[in-house]
Amino acid sequence: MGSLVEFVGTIDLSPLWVTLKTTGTAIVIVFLLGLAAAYFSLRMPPRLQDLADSIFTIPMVLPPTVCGFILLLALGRNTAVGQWFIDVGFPLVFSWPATVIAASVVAFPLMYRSARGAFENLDPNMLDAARTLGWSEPRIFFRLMLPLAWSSIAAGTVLAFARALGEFGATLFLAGNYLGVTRTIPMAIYFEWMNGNTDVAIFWTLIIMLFSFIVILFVNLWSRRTTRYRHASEGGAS
Amino acid sequence: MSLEVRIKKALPGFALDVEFDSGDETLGFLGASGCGKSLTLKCIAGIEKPDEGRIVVNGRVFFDSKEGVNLSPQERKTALLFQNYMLFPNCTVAENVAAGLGRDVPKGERARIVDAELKRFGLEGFGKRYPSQLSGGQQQRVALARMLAAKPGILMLDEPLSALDAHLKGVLEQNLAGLFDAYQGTILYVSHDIDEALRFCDRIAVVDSGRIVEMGTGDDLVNRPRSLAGLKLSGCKNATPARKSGPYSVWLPKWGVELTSAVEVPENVACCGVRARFVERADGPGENCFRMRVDRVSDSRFERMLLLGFIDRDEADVPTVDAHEDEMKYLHQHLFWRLPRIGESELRLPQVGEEVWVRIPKDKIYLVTE
Repeated sequence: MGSLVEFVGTIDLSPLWVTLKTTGTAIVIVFLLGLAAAYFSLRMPPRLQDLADSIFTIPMVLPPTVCGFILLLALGRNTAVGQWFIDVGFPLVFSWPATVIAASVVAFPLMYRSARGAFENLDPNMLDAARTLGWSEPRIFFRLMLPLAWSSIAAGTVLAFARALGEFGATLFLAGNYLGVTRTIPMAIYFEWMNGNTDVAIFWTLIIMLFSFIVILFVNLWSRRTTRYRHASEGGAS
Repeated sequence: MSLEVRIKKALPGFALDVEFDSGDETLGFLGASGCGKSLTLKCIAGIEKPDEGRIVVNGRVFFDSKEGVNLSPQERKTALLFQNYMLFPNCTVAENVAAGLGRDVPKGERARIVDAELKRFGLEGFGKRYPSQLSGGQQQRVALARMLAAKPGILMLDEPLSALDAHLKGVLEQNLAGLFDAYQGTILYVSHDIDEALRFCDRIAVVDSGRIVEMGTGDDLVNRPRSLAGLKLSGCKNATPARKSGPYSVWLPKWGVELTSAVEVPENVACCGVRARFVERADGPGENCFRMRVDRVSDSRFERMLLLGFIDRDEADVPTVDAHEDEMKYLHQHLFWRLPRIGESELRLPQVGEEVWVRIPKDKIYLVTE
């Protein structure tokens, strides 16, 4: 036991904080953007919808390294956008924001697709009924679409979270491997193992497994609680 | 209180072209599924946009293609009652009933209205439940309460009883009848069931392929139908193509017989209808009397339906068809005859294979031109 504490004491825990910060920020961004993309893409004309859907989904099918490389080309110092961000002191490549961008881009399609599928499954008559009762579109979204689609959206969030947590390829390209800045746990596992520190690699592997399990379990429990009206006959309000 | 609707809307393979006016009355829309009756309600509610036309409700222009007026469903706030009620499953009964109350209604007033509506529909004590915990009949009453609490300018109901079983239907029909009597204003009631429409509606519009083919009182529709759709929807089992063959006679090619009519036959007669219950037993040859063979029988609680084949039919236009060759053609060559089973001894009812003489009373046939 003592030797375990001693062992953990020797490990630099910064990859854990970088990962938490990165994944936490990315999941908020992905959650909001994914819902917005799903909501607005369904209101587009069909042809535009197909085009938008293809663009939103493509990071899911591309290898993460390709995503990272494209992002590097688009946001690096060779483009006006990239240069501008460097000039204002907020570089988008090889910096902490780069880890967030990489994780968000790669996780986004999972969120978007889940939300879109959930919205498509809602009965359009239900939403029309709300309209004829005078409900505004934002009210319909927050009071009807979100609660009714919630379990699918929660599932999408879990998938996106897992994807963001495990992001490696795009992060390596766009953010690099700077200890304490961009070295996330997946990055740490790879480089520790490369340097022969197998014990440390195993430590990080266990941490990430435990962490993933807890988060998924939490979301599942929470999702059941917020869709309690469906299981109403099992007890509760009656 | 009035309603004025003139709308056109083209859809792939279907064109809606509806015109009607209505005052303080219950107007029924009777039609087969997919005839455009629900679409008409959705156009009035603003969920569907007509290509052209004008919709005015109680003096307020909802839609006018010429003046470019098209109010949103929220502005129209018609609280349309959908076929499957469309209660919000994530909201409690009380929240559902309050759904149509504007945000300007203060909290106390809101609770008072909800309680009053719940009480009116016998739903006291159900306010905190979710729709999934209610029976079909209770859900329907919640939907009605929600509609009335919203205080729409007209009531529109799209087949409100079709999702219920027969037993519940009887009770809810009484609920609805009372409600409609008490309501001052226009009520549009969509149905495919003639008895429902007769029970509730002052006037009935028969809708077929996107058009109103006839409009009148229930009595008009039952006793003087003017269209094939009206004939079928009023429950007339026998409707067959007809051609004028004399001032008072029509030739029925599918049946292969000629019928005499009590009234003069219109020049452009298209169809002839006879109610199954108006066919009479006859002793032998005579005017509109036919020798028939009982080909099928089917019994319900109080009645026996017999399918009669014309034995002496003229095959000049349509040769006789056997059931296993073409079931639909076979049926079209037959006459439906409905006999009561109550009082009449079962033994005296005609059986399959029997030969019987029947008369089609000449004052009980309907001749329609479209």
